Amino acid sequence: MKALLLAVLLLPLCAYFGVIAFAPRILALPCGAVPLSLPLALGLIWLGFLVTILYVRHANRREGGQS
Amino acid sequence: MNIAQIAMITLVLLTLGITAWAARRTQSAAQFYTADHQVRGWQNGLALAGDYLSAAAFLGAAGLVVSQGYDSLVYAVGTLAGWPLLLLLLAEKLRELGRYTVADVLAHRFPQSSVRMMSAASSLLIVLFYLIVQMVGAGKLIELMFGVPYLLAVLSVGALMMLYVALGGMLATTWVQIVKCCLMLACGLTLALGVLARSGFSLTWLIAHAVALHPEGAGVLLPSKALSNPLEVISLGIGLSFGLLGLPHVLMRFFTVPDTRAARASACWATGIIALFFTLNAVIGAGAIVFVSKNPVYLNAHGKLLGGGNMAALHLAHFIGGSTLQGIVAAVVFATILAVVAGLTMAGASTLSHDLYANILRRGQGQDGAELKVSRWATLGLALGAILLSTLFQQQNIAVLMGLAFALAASGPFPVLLLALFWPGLTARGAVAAGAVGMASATLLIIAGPAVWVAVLGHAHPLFPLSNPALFSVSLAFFTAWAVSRITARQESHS
Repeated sequence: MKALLLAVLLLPLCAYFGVIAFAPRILALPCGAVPLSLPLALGLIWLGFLVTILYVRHANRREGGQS
Repeated sequence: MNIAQIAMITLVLLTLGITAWAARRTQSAAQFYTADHQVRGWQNGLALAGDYLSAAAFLGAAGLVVSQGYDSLVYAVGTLAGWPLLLLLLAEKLRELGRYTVADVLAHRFPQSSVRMMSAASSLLIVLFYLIVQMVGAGKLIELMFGVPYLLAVLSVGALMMLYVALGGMLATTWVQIVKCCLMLACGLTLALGVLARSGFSLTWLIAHAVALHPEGAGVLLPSKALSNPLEVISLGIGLSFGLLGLPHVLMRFFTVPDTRAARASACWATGIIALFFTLNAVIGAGAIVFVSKNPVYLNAHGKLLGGGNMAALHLAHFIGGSTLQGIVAAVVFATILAVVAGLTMAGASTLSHDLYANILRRGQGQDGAELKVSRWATLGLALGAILLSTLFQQQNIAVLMGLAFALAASGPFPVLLLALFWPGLTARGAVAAGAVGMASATLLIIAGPAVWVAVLGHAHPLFPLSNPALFSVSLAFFTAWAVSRITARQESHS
C-alpha cells in the first residue's frame, strides 16, 4: 500500500514538473474557463492531502487488525 | 495605541501566560525536549503547520503571486509534496526510533560519535541559517509594521523566544505554535472570504480581472521566465519536496507524540492545514493583484507597492477590513515569527545540549538535571547568537540563506536519514561522507550560482548555472553514500 501511494503521489508530481520543464505550453490548454495550470496545481496540492488520509486510514486499520 | 499594537501586546501576554503554565510542567529533560511525549496527534499537527508556515509563507506567498503569478503555486505544489513523503517515509520510524533529536534516530544504527557529530553539525547549520532569515525578516517587518527600530525589534523577538524555550521547553513552544496556526488560518480564511465577497463570490470574475490587471496578462496563470530552464525546474522540485524531510525543527516534532498512530495523525493534520493555507493564499494573491496592485492608495510615487511586495497581504487586509483588520493581521504575523523562531531555537538547543554536550562531550554519562541546565544555557546562547547575526546580516540578501537552509536539509540530513532507515548497505563512514559531501556541495553550488556569484558578488556570469543546486547536491550525496559504503563495508563488518 505504501509503495502504491508513493506512486500515486510521485508520478503526477514528476509529470507536473516535467511539463513545466519541457512542455509548458500544455499548461496553457483551456480547462473550462481557466487554463489547465490552475486545476492541475490545486489538484496536486490536495492530492498530497488525499494520500496522507488514505495512508493513515490504511495504517490504523492494519494496526487495529494486528492488536 | 493603535489596533496592531493592542493585538500584538495581547498575543505576547497570551504566549507568556502559556510559557508560565508550561514552565511548571517542565522539570526533566524528557519534558523539556519532547513535552514528555504527551502531545496529541491533532495538537502536533497544528504545531507542525505552525512551525512550518513562516511569515514568508503568508506575506511572501501573496507578494510572489503579485510579482510572479503562477510560480507561487509551483512552489506550493513542490513544498506540499514533502508532507505526504514525510508521512510515508519517515514519520513512523522517527517516532519509533527517536528520543530527543534526529541524531538519536541515526544512533540506533550507528552509535559512533562521528555520525552524531555530523548530524548535529548539519542540524545546527540549518537551524542557524533559518534562524537568521527569520530574525532579519522579523526585524524588518516589525520595523515596517509598528515603526519600531530594527535593533529593538530583533532584541524583543530574541528575548521572547528565549523565554518561551528556556522556561517552557517543548510544551510552551508547541502551544505557541498551535495558537499561531489557528490565528493564521483564521486570518487566511477572513482575507480569502473578503476577496471572494468583493468578487461577488465568482472565481471566474476574480481570475479574469487578475489577468486583465497583471503586467504579464494571461501569463500570470503560467510559469514565469524564472522557470524556463528545465534543469532549474527539476532541481527546484527536488529541493522543495525533499528539503522538508531534512529540517530538524520539523522532524523533532514527531518525538513529542506518544505513539506511531499519533505521529501519522499529526502529519495528516499538518498536510490538510498547509494544503488549505496554500489554496487560500492563491485566492489572497489573486485578490492582491485585483484590489491592491493598481490601487493608488497602496502605491508609492514610482507606482510600486508601499513597503514592497511582502506588504501585499497587509494592504489587502486594509482594503477588506480597514485598519482594524490590518492591525490584527500584522499582530498575527508577529505571532507567526515568534512561533517559528521558538521552534528553531528548540531544535538548536536540543542539538547543543543533547547531542554535543550529553552524548559527545559526556559520552552519555551526564545527569538529566545537568543536561536540562545546559539546554537552557544553550537557548540563551542561541538567542544571543541569532540577535548578533541578524544585526550583521541586516543588509544582506537573506533569501539566499533560506534557499541554502532548504538545500542543506535536502542534501545533508535527508539522504543520510533515508538510507540509514531503508538501506542495509549503508556504513557509518558512508553516512558521514554523504552528509558532509551533500552539505558542502549544496553550499558551494549556491555560492557559485546566480543567487550569490552574480547577485551578491557582482560577477557577470555564474560559475554554476542553477539557483537551486538540489538536483546535483542530493544526487552527489546519495552517490557518495553508496560509493563510500561499498569501499568501507568490509572494514566496518570486521571491526
